[in-house]
Parts: sequence; structure tokens; C-alpha cells
Amino acid sequence: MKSKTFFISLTIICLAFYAYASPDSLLIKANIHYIDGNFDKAAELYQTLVDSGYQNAELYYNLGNSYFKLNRIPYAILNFERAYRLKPNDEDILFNLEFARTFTVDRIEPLPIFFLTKWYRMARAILTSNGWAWTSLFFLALTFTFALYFWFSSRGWIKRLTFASGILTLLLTIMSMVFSAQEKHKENLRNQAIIFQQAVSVRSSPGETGKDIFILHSGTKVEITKALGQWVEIRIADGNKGWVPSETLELI
Amino acid sequence: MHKKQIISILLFLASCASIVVAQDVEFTVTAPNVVAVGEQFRLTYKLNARPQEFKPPSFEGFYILAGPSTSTSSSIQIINGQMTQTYEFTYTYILEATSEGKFTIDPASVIVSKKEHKSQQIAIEVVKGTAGQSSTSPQQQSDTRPKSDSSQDTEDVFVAVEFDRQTAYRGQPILATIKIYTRQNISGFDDVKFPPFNGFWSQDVETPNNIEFQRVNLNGRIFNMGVLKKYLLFPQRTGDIPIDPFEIVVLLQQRGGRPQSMFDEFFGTYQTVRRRLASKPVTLKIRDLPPNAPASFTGAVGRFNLEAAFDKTDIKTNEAVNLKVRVAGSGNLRLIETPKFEFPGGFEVFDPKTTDRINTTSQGASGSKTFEFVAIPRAPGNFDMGTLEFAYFDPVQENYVVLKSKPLALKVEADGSEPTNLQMVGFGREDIRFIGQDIRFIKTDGFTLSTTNTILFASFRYLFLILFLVILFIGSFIWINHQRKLRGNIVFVRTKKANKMARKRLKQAQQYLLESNSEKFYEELLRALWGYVSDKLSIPVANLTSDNAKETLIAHKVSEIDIEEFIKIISVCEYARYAPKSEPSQMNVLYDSALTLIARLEGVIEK
Repeated sequence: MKSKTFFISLTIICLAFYAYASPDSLLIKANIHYIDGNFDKAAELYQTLVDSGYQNAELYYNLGNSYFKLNRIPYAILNFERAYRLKPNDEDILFNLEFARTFTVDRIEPLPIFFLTKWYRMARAILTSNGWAWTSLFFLALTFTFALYFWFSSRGWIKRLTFASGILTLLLTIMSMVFSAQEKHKENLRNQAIIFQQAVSVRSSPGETGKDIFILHSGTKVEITKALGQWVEIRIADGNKGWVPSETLELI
Repeated sequence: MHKKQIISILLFLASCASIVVAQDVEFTVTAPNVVAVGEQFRLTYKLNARPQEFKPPSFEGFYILAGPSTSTSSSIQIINGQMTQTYEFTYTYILEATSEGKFTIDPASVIVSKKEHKSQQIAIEVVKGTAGQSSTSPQQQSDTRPKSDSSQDTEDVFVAVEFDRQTAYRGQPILATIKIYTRQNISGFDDVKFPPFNGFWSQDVETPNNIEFQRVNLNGRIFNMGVLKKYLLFPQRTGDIPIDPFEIVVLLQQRGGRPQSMFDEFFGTYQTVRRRLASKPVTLKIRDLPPNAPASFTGAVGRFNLEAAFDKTDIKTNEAVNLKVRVAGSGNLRLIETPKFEFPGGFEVFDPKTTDRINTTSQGASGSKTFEFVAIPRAPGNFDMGTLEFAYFDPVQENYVVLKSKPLALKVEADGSEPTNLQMVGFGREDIRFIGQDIRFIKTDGFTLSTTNTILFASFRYLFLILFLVILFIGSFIWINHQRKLRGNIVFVRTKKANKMARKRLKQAQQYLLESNSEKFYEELLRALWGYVSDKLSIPVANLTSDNAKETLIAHKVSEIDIEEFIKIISVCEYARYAPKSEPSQMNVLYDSALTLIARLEGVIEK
């Protein structure tokens, strides 16, 4: 009788340990499910991790992959976009995002961007906000070093060299600070969303009285420019604007 | 064709009977399956041989009005010297039903060539009410029936489209039967309009050209029912689909009309009436197939089985191989699309050839459909292609069934042409062919799970790091400056003040000169010179000798003359210090030369 109760308690303890799975083991389990082709189980586990607050680009990417394999394209795009937000320069994320986008219905011709703006944005996107922040600290340290050399050196050529370098690194410090601030703004600004409803008609004004302007399908990315009650004003890549109910969208 | 002959002729010909081909004995019975109470009807036994004995059954529930009356017919055919003789013996009873109900008439038996043969048991349904246009004895039909008015006519003749089921899944066949029900004589049809069956893919089911009427009981009334046409319908759309009515014009022969001649009065008058009939519109409910269709589902509904095999499994490269996929069963065979099958890369695949053998019967379309995939392997190897899958929807079980073929594998050996291909490597190069597209694989390592994506910029940590750098900068600035000052007090400042010190000492020496204290004068003059060089060149006085002073002065690019002057003054002073007496004029000259020398050295070493 005693041994029986012992066994029962042991089983309960074991079950409790099993139920308390560490996040890393959950991740490994999800990966194994994905490799075995059990995409629904993999998606479920990744989603559990995301819901419990983990915010890795890789986690979103894996979740997006699982949803893609389950043919839930809007969910896949949403998670790829979230991964892309966190890691804009990851080749795999970009590839899968582009690939998933080919499964959406809407083809939108984006507005042309002035090439200098494009270059500026590309240069800024080389590093994340944190990357630029660390770069700015590095350049600041360099500037100070050059300043000290400039101050205490008695030789003319060292003074001239350190002066020029100091000015350059000071400019670089300011630039990386600006980039860091702008990237931070971009990362904090959650104004992009994915259409989740199969088809949603975009109206000229909020409310049911608005006239239908165009129709968007699930998986299309939009930018939210305004919100009014249950309605949000959206702008699509080609610059067209309209109002949709907020429940048809999911924020990236 | 039978020819009725009299028995005498039959007997005459009996001499030839030895050549008669032996036949199977057939003994059949015919009777209407529905009769009304009080109606007279005919029941006939037919035998294709000469009987020795005939035993009729007891006709329980029926009253025998007449019979058995026998009739005999025989025919002889001679084809190319072969003679065939057929007999037909007929026993006819005329019966009358006495009460309602279902009655069975037991089989009758005959003995032919000492063998007993039995007819089938038949069932006759007896219903209440007046009989319709009886096939047995229309002329005996009493004329008490009122003249047919239109309202009764519509009841007497009508058409209907009957379906074997009202609801079906998309693709599940529905049998539509177009029937005519009549209680009157029909002499012909005209202007037949069959429904178009929109929303269905329809196929004719073969029916006999002659319309065979059958007596049926419809709500207690007896009708003659004939099947005009049968269709097998395969629904293509879902929802409630209305079926347009079937329209026909029938030519009815009606008794009545005014007699026009004495013969008419005698035989009765008939007139032909045209009547347009239309069936009632019907709506069929077509359900869509369940959504959880397997990937290999291509629209097959019914019940099938699958065979798939290569015609040969060991082949050589550049040799065609045939994959035969045969789907057999019943269902919408004609609408089945080619099953999906992916050959591995390295195979040249041609469009599949499709052949079908389908019989359309009222049970549904059954048969088989064969798909032949022709492929030519271009590279050798063992190819395991898995199994071919074919899914269909079973409307009876209401689920999808996935059939799997046996594993398909091919062994491809290289043929002779391979090496020549290898020699022409430069020609054989081609772009990578992408045979599939997919997303990239998940990321399994190289990251650790983190809860929040903290942004460094403008955070407390960032500001702290900047402050730290600033403090480090200011601190190191102050520290370096301090170090400089410390060193400057000992060496730098002293160097700068060397001239001042020397002049101070020379002034003291001049004082002693005026007092004529020669010993003190020389001593002070030496201290002025040594002190100056020591301060200026940062050499401690204790280490200073005339030799190393000379070297250091040379290193500071002081001219030879000045150095000699310096050495000379020093040696003169050293010498005169301990001399008994000295001339004041000599002391004056020495003082002046020391003064100018220091002034000159100051000019040289400063640079």
C-alpha cells in the first residue's frame, strides 16, 4: 500500500516535470516536429513561446514557416514581417517573406522612391538601432582619443592628423546617433498591419456609409495612418488610402 | 418470325423431326402484376416444347372464368440445310380477381421428355376500384363509364421525371427516369422536349426502343406505365438545382364522338386527341463535398480501385518506360482527372494518354479509366518513387478514401551512349533546373531566446556609457596635464631659469671683484658657469666634468670657439682660485668674457 502511494506520487512528480518544459526544450521539440512534418504541432509550440513573451526574429521566422506549410498564408506573412522588423538584413527571412507574398492575391505597384532616399534608407538599414548605438559609442571614444592626442602633442603633423580624424569621427558619431534614433523610432512605431479577412472592401470614410473604393485580400500589408473608434485609415504601397474596420487587420 | 400452321401440316413435317436441334426447355408465365377486383385478365403459360403432361396450379383467390385453352404454333427454319424447328404451346386462363390483397400463384409444372419443368411463381396485386383500360378485354369494357372530360383526362395521362435520390453529393450520379402513366390508349408521341438538365453532366442510359408498358398500382388506381428515357446525371454545381419539366404531346385514342356511319355505331367511334403534357418541376439538392479533401483528390466520386505499375522495372537510359495507372469502379469515371504523379528529376515525361471503357447503366457508370505516363530516363540509377496516391469520395460512407498503389521503383542502367556524353562535357553543361520552389528551412541554432528586444539608444545604459566616456576623457586630460606640470617643475622650469641664476651669480662675483676678494670671486664665477651648464643641459652638478660638459655642448651644436672659451675660463678660474694673488685687471677681463659667453650660449642652446 505504501509502495503504491509512492509510485503515484512519483508519477505525479514526473508529470509535473514533464509539464514544466523549459523554453529551450520547447523550441527543440518544435523544431523536431517541423522536421518530421508535423507543422501544426510545431506551429502550436512556437506560438506558445511567442505568447509567453519571447521576441526573437528566428522564433517568428520559424513560426511563419510552420504557418506557411499549413497553408495559412496571412499568418505566415505576419510572422515573417515581425521577424523582418527585428532583423531587416537576414537573407532567409527576406527570401521567405518574398516567397509567401507571391501567394497573396493583391499585386500592388509600390510608389517609386527617390534614389537618394532609397540609398539613405539602405545605408541606415545596415545595422539595427542597437548596432548604431554601439557604433556611436565607439566613434565617440575615438573622437576623445584623437582630442587628447591633439591637445598634448607638440609636433605639428600629429596635431594636424588628429584634428582631421577627430572631426571625422565626431561626424560619424553624430551620424550613427541619428541613425540609431531613427531606427529606434521605426522599430517602436507599430503602424504596419496585415489584412486577415479573406476580402475586405476599403471605404472612403469610416462607418458603413462610406463608399467602397477598392478591395483588399488577405495577406496584404498596409500602413495605418489614422484610427477612429473601430475604424482605421490605411495606406497601401501605391499610396491609395481608405478606411477599414480594425478587426480585419493584425498589427505587425 | 413464327408462322401459325395447322396441326396437320405440323404432323406432316414431323417426319423430318429427326434432324431437329435439341433445345433447352423454357416454361414461362405471364400475367399483369396489378389487377382490380372484378377485372378479368389473362394468364398465359408458354412452353417451347411438346408437353406430355400439364399440371396447373390452384388459382387461390381467383375465379377461373375460362381455360385452359391451348394453342400451338410451330415454325421450321432451314438455313443452309440446317433445319430448326420451334414449338410453342400456350395455355391460357381467363381469371377474375375476387378480393383485394396480394396473391401468389404457385408454379405450374409440365413434363417434357419425362422430365418435370416448373414455371416461376408469380405475385399479383389486387386493388379495389375500377380497372383502367384493360389490356385483356377492352371491348368488354362497359360503356357505363362517363365520357372522359378534361379533368379526368389529366388524371388519366401524365408524365413524370423520377429520380432515384433527391439529394446527392457533387459528382454522385443520379438516375433520372422519364415515365409516362396512362389509362388510355396512346397512338403516338409528338414534339418531345427533354429537359436540358442544366448544372448536370448527363448521359443516356440505353433503353429499349419500343416502349413496354407495365401495369402499376398508383394510389389504388391502375395505370399503364412506360419508360421513355433514362439519364444518368452527374451534378456539377452545388445548391438547389431546379430541373425543367419534361414536355411531350401525346396522341390519345378516345372513344366517343358522334357516329358518322352505321359501321361506326357498330364498332364504336374513336377519335385521336392531341394533348400536351408536362412533368412537375423538381428541385434537386446537391451538396458540396466535405472540405477536408486529401491532396491527391482530383474529383472522383463513387467507389474505385487502383492499379499502377511500370510495364518494366529494369530498363536502360534513353529507353521509354510506361507507367500504367488504371482506375476501375463505378462513379463519375469520365470526369476523373489525371492523378498527380511526380517523376524524379532526370526523367523526360510526356503528357499522359487517357483511355476509358465505361458502361452507363441504370446502376451508374462503371468501367475503367487508364492513364499511361510515358517517361524516358536520361540518367542511370535506382529510383524509388514511392507510391502513387488516388483519392476518391465515397458518397455512401460520406468520406474520402485514399488508395495507394504498390511502391513504384525503377532500376535504370546506363546504356552505351553515356560515355560519349561525358566526353563532350563542354556541350552538356546546362543551367540548374528548378523543379520545385519552397520556403527556406527554419533556424535551429545560433540564437538564444530573449523576452524583450531592448533598445539601447537613449536608454539609461546608453547615457551612462556616454557619461563614462566623457568622464574618462576629462579624467585622462587632467591626469596628463598634471603629469606634464610635475615634470615641468624640475626640468623645464629650471632650464628656463638657468640664465637668470647665472646672472645672479655673476652679479655676486662682481660684488666680490669690487671688494677685491679674489678667492670668493673665482669661486662664484665657477659656480655661475657650472650651474648654468648644469641647469641648461639638465645634468646634475656632481656628475659634471669638463669632458662630459664638452660633449654635451657639442651635441647642442655649440661652436668650437665657445666651447674652448668655456674650458679656458673654467681652467683659469680653477687655477687662480688657489694662486697667492691675482691682478684685478685680469679678474675684470675674465668677468667680462664669462658674461658674454653665457649670453652667447643662451642664444645657441635656446634654439
